[in-house]
Amino acid sequence: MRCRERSGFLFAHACDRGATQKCTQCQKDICKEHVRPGTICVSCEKRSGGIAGAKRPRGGRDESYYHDPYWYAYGYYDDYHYYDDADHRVFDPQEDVAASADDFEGDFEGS
Amino acid sequence: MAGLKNVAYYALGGGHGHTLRGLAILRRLQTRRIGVLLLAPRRLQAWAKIEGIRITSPPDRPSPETLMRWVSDTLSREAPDRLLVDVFPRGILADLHHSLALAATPPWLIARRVKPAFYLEPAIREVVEHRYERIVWCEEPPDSLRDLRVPQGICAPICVRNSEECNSRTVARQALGLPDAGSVVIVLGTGAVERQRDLLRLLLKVQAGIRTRFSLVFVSDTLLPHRENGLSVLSLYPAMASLRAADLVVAAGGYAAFHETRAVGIPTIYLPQRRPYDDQRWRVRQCSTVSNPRDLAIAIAAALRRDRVSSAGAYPASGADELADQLVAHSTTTGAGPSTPGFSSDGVLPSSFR
Repeated sequence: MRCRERSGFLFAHACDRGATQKCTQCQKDICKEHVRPGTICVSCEKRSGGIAGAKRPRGGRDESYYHDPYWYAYGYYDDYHYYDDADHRVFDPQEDVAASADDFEGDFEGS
Repeated sequence: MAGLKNVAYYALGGGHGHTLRGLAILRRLQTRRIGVLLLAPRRLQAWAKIEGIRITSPPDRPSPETLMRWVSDTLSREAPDRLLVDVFPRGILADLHHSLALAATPPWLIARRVKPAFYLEPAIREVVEHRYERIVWCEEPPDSLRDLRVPQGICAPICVRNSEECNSRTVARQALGLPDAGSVVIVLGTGAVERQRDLLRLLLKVQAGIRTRFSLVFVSDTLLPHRENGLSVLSLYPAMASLRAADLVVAAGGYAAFHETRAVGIPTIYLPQRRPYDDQRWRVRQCSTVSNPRDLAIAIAAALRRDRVSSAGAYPASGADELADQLVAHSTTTGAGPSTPGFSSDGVLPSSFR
């Protein structure tokens, strides 16, 4: 059974972890990353106002906070593997030259 | 030269830009009742047919010798009053070199900005300075190329359509089968097919991931056409005429995509690609660019919320009309020479158009 939580600052992406329990409020299957105090899911915590009361840790970095997928935006979510090598290849600075000088049809020198 | 009766445009480079500039200029000349002929790759013949422009193409995958013979035979047979050569594509020096020597009148070189090393290469520089009557820059040239000992002039960007010829948002969306409401992102696919596939895959991930819903139109003449909910992959010519369907365009930094999006005034995110002779990073240096998937997603989301990428505002891309006027004007002056308005005889360019 997979975790049914969806979270993320910009990306409402599905969690692909295995579920370990159910939210006691909405009965949604959730993983250990998405369980909150009271055995509720992140979405129920938000609805209950729990987010408003949350504060960033002061002094010293609380790693668990920064890894919280609900809070975070892409840049800090170390475990965020939404993009793979093929996606990064789009921006590869290697010259996009398809063929040798003998093959003018493949000379994608661009415009 | 007593009047200009026929013009040939050599656009045998691999990218679309050479042919698009050729089509833009020949289209304007044709309205002036001048005979035209486009020399372009076979795979782009459909575009010329849409424009009603004569086109001839060499055999597929010709050897250098075959290509040289084909160019020479074609130009001997057609005997144009004026030959226009686009940018001097890489690897083509051999086939044009012989033909230029046979030309009754020296050709004009229609040049977008190129990396200086290309034209400063001694063998190429020699041909440019001694076999061409003039260079017409359709983009600001690098400073070092202003020293080339050949008359040079500049024109506005050359686009296949004037902005007033492009469809309105409603008409463009109807033509593309898109609803009038909702966000639309048009992608101008270019480059190797593998790169285009990667980009399409990435954009589908972005479409699924960000909260703002949008329809994705991926324009490509190498990927197979495809349509499903929220996605269209299609070949589209001229793409410029349909850009107003988009709330946002994603494009590389090639000449055609850059100037067409700016001429129409559509917010655009540029993904400059690296090319041997084209500096796309320079071209898009003052525009919105991204260099990784996450920044692309953020930029698209922000643009569709209208709080980031701003439109540059449409600007005139009347280079094709200007060049057509210059060709006609030059043909009616007595005596050869760089006396056409807009050109100088001492290699000093007028001020840049931007």
